[in-house]
Amino acid sequence: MPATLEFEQVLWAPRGVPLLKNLTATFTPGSVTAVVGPNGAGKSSFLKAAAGFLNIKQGRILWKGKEQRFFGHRQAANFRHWCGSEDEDGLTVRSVVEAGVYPLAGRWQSLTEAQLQRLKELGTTLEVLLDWNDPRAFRSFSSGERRLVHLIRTFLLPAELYLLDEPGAPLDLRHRLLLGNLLRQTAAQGATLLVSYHDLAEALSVADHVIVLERGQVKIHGSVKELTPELIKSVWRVQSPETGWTWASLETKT
Amino acid sequence: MRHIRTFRSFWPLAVLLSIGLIGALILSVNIGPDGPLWALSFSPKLSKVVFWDLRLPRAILALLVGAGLAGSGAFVQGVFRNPLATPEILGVSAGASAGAVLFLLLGWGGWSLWGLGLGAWLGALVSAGLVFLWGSRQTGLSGLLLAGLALSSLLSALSSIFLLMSGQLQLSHFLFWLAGSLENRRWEHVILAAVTILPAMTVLMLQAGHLNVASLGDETAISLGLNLERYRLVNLMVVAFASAGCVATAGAIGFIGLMIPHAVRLLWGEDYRFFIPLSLLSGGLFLSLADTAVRLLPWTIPVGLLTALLGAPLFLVLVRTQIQGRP
Repeated sequence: MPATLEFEQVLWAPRGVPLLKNLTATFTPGSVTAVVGPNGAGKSSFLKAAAGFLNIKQGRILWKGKEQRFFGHRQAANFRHWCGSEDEDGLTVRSVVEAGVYPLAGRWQSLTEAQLQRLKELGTTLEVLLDWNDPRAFRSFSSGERRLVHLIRTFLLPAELYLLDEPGAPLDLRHRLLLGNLLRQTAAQGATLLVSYHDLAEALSVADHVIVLERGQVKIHGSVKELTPELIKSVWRVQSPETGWTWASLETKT
Repeated sequence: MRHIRTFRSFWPLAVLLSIGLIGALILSVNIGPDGPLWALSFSPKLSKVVFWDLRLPRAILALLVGAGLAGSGAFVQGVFRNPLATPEILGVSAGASAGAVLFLLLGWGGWSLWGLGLGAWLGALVSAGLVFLWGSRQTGLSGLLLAGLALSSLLSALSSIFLLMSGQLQLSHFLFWLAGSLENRRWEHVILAAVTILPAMTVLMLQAGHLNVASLGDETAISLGLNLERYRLVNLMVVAFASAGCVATAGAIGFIGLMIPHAVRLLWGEDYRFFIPLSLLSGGLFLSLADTAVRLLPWTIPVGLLTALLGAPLFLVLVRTQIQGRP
């Protein structure tokens, strides 16, 4: 099967500061890859590059073997779906949900019967108990509710590549687990998902692959099994007890 | 879970506002310094002149310009995702003024209204282009607004200098360009306003659906397939065209572009597909009523001063309720 997304020797250095260096990686269909690394490691830049938002001067990024810039705006929109870490803007619940069908419907976005069915399905999967016609301004909702609506927007239409930047950050524990189920389900249907996490326990419960970034470079890219306590210690500088890393303590200076 | 329906109150509201517009138009042609229209009926010739040559063009112009100002304001707020970004604050209106006055000064376009319109259009286009270049340089929205304010003051100062240099200065001219007025408008003004404002507003209404997507933020909008750079550039040019029409026919009438969209947003909600048409209708209605009110006063003041007088306090009240309504 051809790779959905390939990075070839990508360098991204806005104003001379290299944020992504020498980045080569391949992502295949039917998998969830957790993008992890300390703050400033380049997780967001990596996902933005994958989404085609960055004007990459060195190296190539391929979608299904074709360079990103050969995709039209519409075509790209139907190929990859994006949910950003600051995705909490919008006008009303309904306008955000309807924006999800914009790649197909264009300016007068409105849902077809099948899309409405899909919306209900997603609402049940993610347990979103919102009135879709709530007239209140979107910004008057909590950040978690807004993120859930944006996640529904992201998954409303099918795509081959999903790029989610810390989608679980504003969500409560139950909704993070429900989101994990949705991500696994989507991968089982053959999509490629790249999801960034800070919570390693959450990442490991969902992902089958992991890409660890450190100062803009790939430290490890492989199965989640490679995320060992030794690696965590060296990258995040925390000590993890034998039982795991969830209750890690700060590494003491030796 | 409920079904998604269309904005239920949109059509009743649009119809209500349209009826209001027609009512305002009838009211406007019946009221004036010469008394109501029926009082002139003893002299059919005079009443015909008053109706056809004085009142009707002025009343229609008020509707057009009000709609153009409010529609452009609503759209630019959406494009820049900032409730304070309107053509007047970004310097587009001031650019139109400066362009028109420069054409007056240089005698290009032979003093005709169409020459003025061309000057206004070029001025608006240049200032919209400058604002766009500045806005796309990632200076942030406050940077954009500050640049707009600076550009606006600069261009207003230029307009004043051009007016003083022209040597043809009359106080009424000065007031017209600084405050905006609908005094002594003729059919040619109506035609100029109609050919600029109506097509521009049609385009903006057709483009309004994209604004919902643009409101999700730049990256998300691009990920959904909106060519944001091109969208902003093209529609700012459309807004510049409408602003030029408003400024060339009615001067710089303030506060409508800022205030009417705010009022519409607070009263009826945010979705741009409904928000732009409702802003258009409300703007037309508001300027029409304001102009009628101005003509009832015993002394002549430009309608732009009345909109500023009414607009500023109402605006403060709206901002206050908006702040209280937020968590």
